[in-house]
Amino acid sequence: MVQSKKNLEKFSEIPLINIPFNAIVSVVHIRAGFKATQRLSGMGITPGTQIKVISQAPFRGPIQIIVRGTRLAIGYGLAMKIFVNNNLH
Amino acid sequence: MSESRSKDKVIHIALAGNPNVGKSVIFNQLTGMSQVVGNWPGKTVKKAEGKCKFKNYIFKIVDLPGIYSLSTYSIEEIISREYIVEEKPDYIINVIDVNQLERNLFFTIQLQMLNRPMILALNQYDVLLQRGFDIDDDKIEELLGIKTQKVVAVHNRGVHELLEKIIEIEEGGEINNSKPIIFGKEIEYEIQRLSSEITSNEFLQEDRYPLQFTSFKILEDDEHIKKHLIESKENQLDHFLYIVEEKRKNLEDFHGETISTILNSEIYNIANHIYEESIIIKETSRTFKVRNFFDHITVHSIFGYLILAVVLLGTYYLIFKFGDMISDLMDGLFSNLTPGAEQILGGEENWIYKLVWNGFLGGLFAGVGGVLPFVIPFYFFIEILQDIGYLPRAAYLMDRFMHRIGVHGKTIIPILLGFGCTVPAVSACAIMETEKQRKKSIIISSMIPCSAITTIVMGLVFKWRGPWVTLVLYLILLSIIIAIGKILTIFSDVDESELIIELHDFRVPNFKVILKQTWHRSKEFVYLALPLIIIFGILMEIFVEFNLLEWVNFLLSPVIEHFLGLPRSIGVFLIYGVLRKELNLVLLEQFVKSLPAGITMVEYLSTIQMITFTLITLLYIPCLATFITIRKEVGKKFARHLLFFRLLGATLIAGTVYWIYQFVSNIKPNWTFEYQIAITILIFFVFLYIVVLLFGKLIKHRGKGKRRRFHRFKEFAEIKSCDNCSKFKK
Ligand SMILES: Nc1nc2c(ncn2[C@@H]2O[C@H](COP(=O)(O)OP(=O)(O)O)[C@@H](O)[C@H]2O)c(=O)[nH]1
Ligand SMILES: [Mg+2]
Repeated sequence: MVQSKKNLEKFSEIPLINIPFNAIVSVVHIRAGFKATQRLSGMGITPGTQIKVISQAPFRGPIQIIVRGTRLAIGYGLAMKIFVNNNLH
Repeated sequence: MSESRSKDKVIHIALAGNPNVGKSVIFNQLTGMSQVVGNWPGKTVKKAEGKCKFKNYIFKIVDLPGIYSLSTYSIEEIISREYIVEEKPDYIINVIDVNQLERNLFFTIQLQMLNRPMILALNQYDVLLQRGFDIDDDKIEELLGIKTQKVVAVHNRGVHELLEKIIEIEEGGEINNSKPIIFGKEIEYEIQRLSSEITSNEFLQEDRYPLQFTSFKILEDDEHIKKHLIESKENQLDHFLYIVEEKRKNLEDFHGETISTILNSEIYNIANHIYEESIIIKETSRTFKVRNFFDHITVHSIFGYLILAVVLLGTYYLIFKFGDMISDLMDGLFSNLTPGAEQILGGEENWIYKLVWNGFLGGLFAGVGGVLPFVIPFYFFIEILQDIGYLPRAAYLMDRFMHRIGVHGKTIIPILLGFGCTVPAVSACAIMETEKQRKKSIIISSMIPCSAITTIVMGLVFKWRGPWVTLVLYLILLSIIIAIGKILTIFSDVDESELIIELHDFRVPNFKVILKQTWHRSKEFVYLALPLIIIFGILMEIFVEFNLLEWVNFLLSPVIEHFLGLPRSIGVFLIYGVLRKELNLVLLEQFVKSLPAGITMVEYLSTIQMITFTLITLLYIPCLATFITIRKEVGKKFARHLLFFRLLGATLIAGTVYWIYQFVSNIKPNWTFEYQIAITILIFFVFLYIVVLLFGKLIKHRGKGKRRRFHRFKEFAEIKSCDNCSKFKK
């Protein structure tokens, strides 16, 4: 859901890659390039979206997440650019 | 689209939807055997068309490529979009996977903006029930204003009902029954304003896209729509684009997000609303929990890799066994039939015999015996892995390693295939999102040693020189693949090379679907490659007849003999290898047998010669069938370039190894052979490393102009987005 900028500033943002497994967080900001942002939103990742991180492949591999009922794998580099709020549910 | 004047009315239908929702299954159920698979004009994306007669109507159906969105990220997205607005199919059947309703609806809503009559196929309904959910299809009909149909494509349930619904609409006379999409207040307001701006400017009206879509996309700064508008009317547009720019900036400033994020969130809001209203939760069933366990174990940090290894080795083992068996059978059949053919066609010396039997049928058997037994099982196995949903997991596990060679995890799929046969590997590269990624994957996966090459390595190097030399050979090959991958990373676009892939839940394999898909893929291969293999076989016979092969040897001798240090007569075998790589070895063996007694392979080729010969065979050229596939998948030019670089590269690499060895053995003749070889490959690795480094430098220099421009553009963009902080500058 679109929230206004002010709302978002209340939370400090951390990259998705630092989220412990099984925590549910919501996306605050995506700092990737235009193409990657478009691809991510096509797959359902937009600001406000709830994400649950399930696992990560070894050696800084991609992370596995659940978004809108779909399981996705997202490369490490890209997951670094997805910022989420850190008040864990 | 035009209608034919025959009794039966023709209705054009396009199947659209996300990847992996079941479009192709529905398409196959409807069109059966009547389908034609080609490429989209000028594009490298597959286009499947088919016909279906149903109740006094002829349905002409197009299976559009699977996409997630109607933006312009991939070629597939652009093709689908253009097709719908240009060709104006009478109906769109939007196939969705009800298990991922929200994400699928995101696409449905965008499709609706294109304003064509639409039917929603709620596919994979069986899985939804298994998972303990249900769906209120009436609610969806009400909210979206389009007809829906629950479908289980794999069991052919609800598939023809889709056509019935279309006939209902057709005969009921309603043309467009879908509700307009209404966004949230503020976005809706902007879009309405833009729409009225467009309609009031008469020079903007003749756009092909529907008004709402145009407004939405122009607000999103969609390149294609913008280009289209600007193309049509050059200068009057400045004012309009200025207004758009301002609106966009206001929205971006307010939300602190890029415009496409804002707009996509808007669509998701609608999708989410429909999802919440229509999904009914019941209770999870047992089988589903079992599958859940598999879902976890296959991506586990340890067991995941173990399972991957077992799956792969098992697959290869089975395919090799099977392929070899059939291949031997075919060869046996061919040699058993030969005496009979000699009689009918007039004996060994008759040229008709040579042409027809050796050339035509020889080629046919080479294709049927040597290629198909490996290709078809491979398609079959890959279809199984695909159908149960395993492949994305391999991509997930291997992503990290693939990044080392400039591609992302998905490339593991063609690479795995490449160990069996390069043809399906090259076709599988179509899963890469962008043209660039696809080409890179083709370059890499076409270098993976296929079953034919393994036969050569085993039959020549391993048989005569043992495991250590074999290992050395594979090490050299691996280092070359990594080096090429490294060189390719220099061209990488960071944005593109990140993995985003859907990990579907495991499915129970459906063998009917698997067999059908295998058949379709194999058919394509047969039509494409077999005729050429046969023609090549005939050509070779003509060559032999006119003694041209001696000339070939003579022409190749500067390279073969002097640069690579191989016996001169090997040139011919390399030509034959184009047809089918094992021929290199088969012919070589026959040749060595025909030499004066006492000379065996070991005397004929020294160890280093065997290494260079095998290296050349591995690298010099993708076999004919692969070449044709590459040509078809990505175009003539790329295929030609690849061919050229492979020839050149193979010669240089094999030559380098040979000369390094010469050098080493000349200055240290008293070392044992093992030492000499070890030092040779060490030097070779260092050499390769330096080449990669130099290459990187070179490209960076050449790319500087481009890069600088890019930086300037970026700076410009930053300044623009930071207009109000300009006072802090200076
Ligand atoms: N259980 C189940 N599986 C389905 C159904 N429809 C399709 N599939 C499976 O979904 C996968 C993808 O189907 P496909 O037609 O290739 O998808 P496309 O990418 O949209 O063309 C295949 O493995 C099918 O077997 C369905 O109704 N039920
Ligand atoms: Mg398909």
